Amino acid sequence: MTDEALLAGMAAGDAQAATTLVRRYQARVYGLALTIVGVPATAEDVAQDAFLRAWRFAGGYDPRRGGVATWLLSITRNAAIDAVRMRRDQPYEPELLLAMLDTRSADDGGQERTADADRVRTALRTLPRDQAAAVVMATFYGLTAKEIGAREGVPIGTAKTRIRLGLARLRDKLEVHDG
Amino acid sequence: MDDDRYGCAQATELLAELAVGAIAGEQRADVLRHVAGCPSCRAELAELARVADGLLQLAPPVEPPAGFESAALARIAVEAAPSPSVAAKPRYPRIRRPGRALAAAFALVVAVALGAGAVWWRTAADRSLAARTRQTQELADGRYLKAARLTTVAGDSAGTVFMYEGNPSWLLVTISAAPVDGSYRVVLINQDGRRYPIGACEVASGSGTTAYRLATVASIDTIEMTAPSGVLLTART
Ligand SMILES: [Zn+2]
Repeated sequence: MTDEALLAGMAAGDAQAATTLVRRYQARVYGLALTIVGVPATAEDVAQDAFLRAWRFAGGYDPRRGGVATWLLSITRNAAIDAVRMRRDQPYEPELLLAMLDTRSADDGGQERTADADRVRTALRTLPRDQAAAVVMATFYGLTAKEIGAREGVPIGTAKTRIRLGLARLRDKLEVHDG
Repeated sequence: MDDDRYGCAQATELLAELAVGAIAGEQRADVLRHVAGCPSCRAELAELARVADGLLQLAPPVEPPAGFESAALARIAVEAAPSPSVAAKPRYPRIRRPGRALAAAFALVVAVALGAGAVWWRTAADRSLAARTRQTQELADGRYLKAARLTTVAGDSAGTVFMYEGNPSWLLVTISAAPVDGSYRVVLINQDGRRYPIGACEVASGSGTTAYRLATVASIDTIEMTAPSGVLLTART
């Protein structure tokens, strides 16, 4: 069954489809939640919340904007950020995050997914450290340019520039491969 | 845009921050307002957001603790459970009457099963399906999706009835060109000739949508919809 069919089945209340979808994605959803919140118990709650949100918002899934996996992971990111906003005192370590993202994990999602992840990972590696740190702190932790500036000890304008240049460069790198 | 404080130049500066979620408050609202009215900034934002979302797959997968799967499914089940109703005596073996959100969910089933994605839903069922009445699409595990044209007595197309045989099964009525408005009574006629009233469908400006969860749709032969004025619409499966 395709991801789209599973999502549709889950939205329609089909328990079997929901089970298959959860089973297929739980490691990636939980892994992302854990990457963001850092605490297993919170990550578990966030990951369950993400599947609940997926079920609730399945009708809003638009296949033109990307695959089910991307959609599910962005829901997970939002759920995780909502959870950590409650306690902003948590230390964020961009070096640790960057190192985690740079690690190629054991193949769990088929060759196609692995190839795509490798492409993104390679593109991220070409960014200067400061740009990469700014982009991933915003994307994964939901930090604003102001917060990133404060954490990195640079003016807000510098943080904004790093985000803009970093993302533009990532896009260029990925486009070259697309074309 | 009268209330558009940003031009493209100013908005472009901030699209990357918007795409990664690094912008908050009033500034965010201002950029969004510009993007809403500017197709080129919207396209740029969509592309940047795709790049940012692509980073999320780099998070290392981790197997969750034992019991995760059943706990996640239980949370969904709790939310999906019907609120207890007292004197419901459904004549047709029906599970419960879904609300608008579930009708939307069903629409997704239909869209995905037909392989047309979200575009189909927005451009309305009937255009793409008018030529293919009584179409049945086999899905996995004995499931299928059937579409039947809803017509007036004169044979004019008024909408489409979708039947999804699964667990649970669904019946979705979409009316797009009804000859009269009002609250239509919906009656299912089984292959053995028995009639089951299943509810009403509100039609305004010629269109309306309603969905029912049923134990099965396999035994349905005809769907009849009758307006208060007596106007009749029928669909044969
Ligand atoms: Zn613009």
